[in-house]
Amino acid sequence: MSDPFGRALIEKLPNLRRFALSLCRSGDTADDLVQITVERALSARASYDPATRIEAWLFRILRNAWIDMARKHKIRGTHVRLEEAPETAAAGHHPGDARLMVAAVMDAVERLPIDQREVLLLVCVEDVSYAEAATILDIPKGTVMSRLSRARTALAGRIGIK
Amino acid sequence: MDPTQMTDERIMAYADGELPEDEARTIERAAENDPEIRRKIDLFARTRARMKEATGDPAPVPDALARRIAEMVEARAGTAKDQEAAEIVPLPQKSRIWHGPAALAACLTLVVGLAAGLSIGQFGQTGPDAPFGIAALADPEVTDALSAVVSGQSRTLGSGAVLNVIASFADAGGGLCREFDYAGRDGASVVAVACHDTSGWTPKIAITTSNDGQTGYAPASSLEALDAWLAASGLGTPLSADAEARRLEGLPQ
Repeated sequence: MSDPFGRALIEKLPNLRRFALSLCRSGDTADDLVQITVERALSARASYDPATRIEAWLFRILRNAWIDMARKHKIRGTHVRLEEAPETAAAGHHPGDARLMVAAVMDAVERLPIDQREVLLLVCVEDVSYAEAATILDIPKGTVMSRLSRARTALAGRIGIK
Repeated sequence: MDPTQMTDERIMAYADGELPEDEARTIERAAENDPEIRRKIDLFARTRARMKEATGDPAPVPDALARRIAEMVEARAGTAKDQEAAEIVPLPQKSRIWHGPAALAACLTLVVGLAAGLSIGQFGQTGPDAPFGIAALADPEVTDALSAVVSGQSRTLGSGAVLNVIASFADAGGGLCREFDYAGRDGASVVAVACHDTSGWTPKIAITTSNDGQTGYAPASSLEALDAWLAASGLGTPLSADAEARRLEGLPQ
């Protein structure tokens, strides 16, 4: 593929799908969301500012697509718990105690309110900056920081970090 | 942020490398004499590391999806159509689905336009006669956008406000109704339904949130009110993209 924009899009698909799964908890719905995101990104590519990171722009499109979808289909809650969506579990190898640790972390993440969870996943998993997270979620940076701080304090308590 | 305050947020920002150098040095100096700050730095660093470990690299996308997307990207790469579509920016929309119902109930204003008794202004009016008294809806660019933007997409208006069209419906008389979000630059946010009739776009229901300086979200319960109104008005099922496109084309210019 010669088009760098298209290449960048395809390169981010696994991250987009992981974020989609964290929102909708269903593999099929996540696939739909990723596809809608790519469609919208292709249609609006001239509005993408190349000075910014494309993943932040894509996460924002994806999250807005999810809000639209939830609104249209009256999806109010979650369909599948995270552990029932095996793709969301770690892709790497985690033998023994490490596997228990992964389970404990994912369980703790699961119990966070959605607004804290999405900030946590964006910053600590997808490595977006506070400013990028604020743009993706359409909230002030101060709100990103307070949600993220609360999420990590709660997570620490649940997995035994003092 | 007040640089003299050692809040959790500032300590976290230090651990995440988000502070400017001078502020970071302030935290480091304070941490030298304060084990509580050191403990928090460690907590924030370790939670991030644990999250990274627990999630690992993202799994590859399923082959079928990868193929569909590769085809889409190939088909659309560099076409002129992309340039036309560039004016429609699928960007801001208020998150309003997942928030607890009680949090913002106090600052919610819900106005329902009943057939009798309420005088409802038309779009395009300003001042105290603006529709529902919501100045945002008096922006004449709103009517243009309602006649043009397809559902699921947004348009940034000249004022910097963003209008996001959520869905289209047909009313009992076959007229076109549209549900949309309007987010002003000042933080004012409105979710509304307007229907097109002989006098143009007329607002039927609008839900506003006052800006609380934090989120400006409407609580989920307000959307239940909107859903109930849609159902009661016979506007329950959104039009398909094709049906919407036909109706948009059929609007008087």
